[in-house]
Amino acid sequence: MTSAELITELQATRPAADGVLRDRVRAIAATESVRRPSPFARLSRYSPRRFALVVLPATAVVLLAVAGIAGLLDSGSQPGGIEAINSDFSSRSPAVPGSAATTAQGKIAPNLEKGVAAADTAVPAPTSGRAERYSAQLTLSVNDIDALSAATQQALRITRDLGGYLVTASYATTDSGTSSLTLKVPTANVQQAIVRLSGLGKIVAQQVQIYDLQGQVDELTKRENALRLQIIRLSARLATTDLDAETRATLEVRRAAASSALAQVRGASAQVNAEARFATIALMMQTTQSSAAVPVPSRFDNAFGRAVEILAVEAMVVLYALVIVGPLALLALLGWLTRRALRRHQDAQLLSAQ
Amino acid sequence: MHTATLTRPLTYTAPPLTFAEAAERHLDDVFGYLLYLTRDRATADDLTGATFEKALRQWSRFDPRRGTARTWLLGIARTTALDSFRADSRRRKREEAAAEPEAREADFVEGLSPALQTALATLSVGEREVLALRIVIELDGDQTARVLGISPTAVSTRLSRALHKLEEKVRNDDLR
Repeated sequence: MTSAELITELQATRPAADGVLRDRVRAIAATESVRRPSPFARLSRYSPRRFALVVLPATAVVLLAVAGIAGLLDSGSQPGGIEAINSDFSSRSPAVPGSAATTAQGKIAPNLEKGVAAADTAVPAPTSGRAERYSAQLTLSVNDIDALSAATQQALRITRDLGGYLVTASYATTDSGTSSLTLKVPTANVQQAIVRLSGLGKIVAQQVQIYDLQGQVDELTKRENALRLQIIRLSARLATTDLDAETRATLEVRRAAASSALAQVRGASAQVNAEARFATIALMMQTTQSSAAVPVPSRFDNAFGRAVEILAVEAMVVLYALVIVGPLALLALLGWLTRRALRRHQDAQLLSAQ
Repeated sequence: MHTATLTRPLTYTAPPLTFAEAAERHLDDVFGYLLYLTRDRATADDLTGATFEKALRQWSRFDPRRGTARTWLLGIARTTALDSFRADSRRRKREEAAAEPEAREADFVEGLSPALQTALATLSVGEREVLALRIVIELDGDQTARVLGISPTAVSTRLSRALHKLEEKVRNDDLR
């Protein structure tokens, strides 16, 4: 018998299931409609490999999307340090509406729109009726060189308006610019001056020092009065005729010394009073470029940076999970491979049997 | 404007096969395959029932894009048979280590010549299954390879060897 004949015979006698088996299988199949399909039926159709092919890229996309969206949401705010400084001072940024705003450049004006009431409380006022040495240092940032020039001119105008004067001025511009002014303003108007000058830009730093001079003034006044009285007494004695020449000479020397001392005390007193009458304001203005030591990153830079940070965190979490789960997964894989190999070996043995 | 619509090739998507349809259509294939594997009608009957029960439970996993229902059912039949063989083997080892394998029916396929029946009995299970799949059920090489989990070349080699062995056995029986 040839192979062809064998094949023909095998095919001709193809086995068929009998009626009993057919009915049994039909009965099994009839329960198909009764069975409720599992909600995960569609998922179970995919092999682990196909599932991984979809799930892994999808997970990566989700992680990237989370990082991107979180980065974009977080980028709305400025970087912490700079914002903290700006918001801190901008909240105290004082201004006098309707005064400097009317003459200053447009870029400066918005800062002057803020109310003066809050600013008044922010700037310490000189004590009324007491002599004080009042000095203030004010550092402002303005947008650009044009704004710096306008703000400088405006500062001089404010000083003059309030009865003050300019002591020193330094103005320099290259790519960026700085303007340093030392101003003397009547102490009575210093609070208003600071408020108005602060409105010329964004406050970067502000410092006020008050030193009480009243004790000095009182002491000088007392001494002046005493000297004046002494001079009057000496003059009265010198006006009498019964003085001998030696006594007269001594009294005249003493009166001259008292007059000289009085002149000194008057000078000192005038100096202290002048100090108390005018406050010193050191105004430093700089353009944003020069004042910003750290450039303010753009919204895109912020978003990108934040996204990278989040991605790094995600990568750390994944790495951590891999380190923890990895060995267990490897053991499970080895176990599964061993079991499969054993099963295949068993199958081969079973299939080789007759 | 309408030409494009008219010349567009018509596509026909066959409605999805129900389990009942697949069972009805491929019952004989599954049974025949299992009969050749077991050489026992009763065992083949039981395994066929078990195969379709298992197949019904897994029907939601069947993906027609990955293969036909026939190869899918035959794959389940094979796993079911091997599990049964494995269980039998363990049972025999446990109960009576030296016991002979259970006797099989001498004429397990109706209408087959006694010489061929005898010759088939001398083949291994692996050789009989490749004969069943390629010759009796008439799967092609790729489908058989898919069911057996081996390459089409291995299928071809195994079939050739089985046929050669079968031919030799039958010839020897004829000479006797």
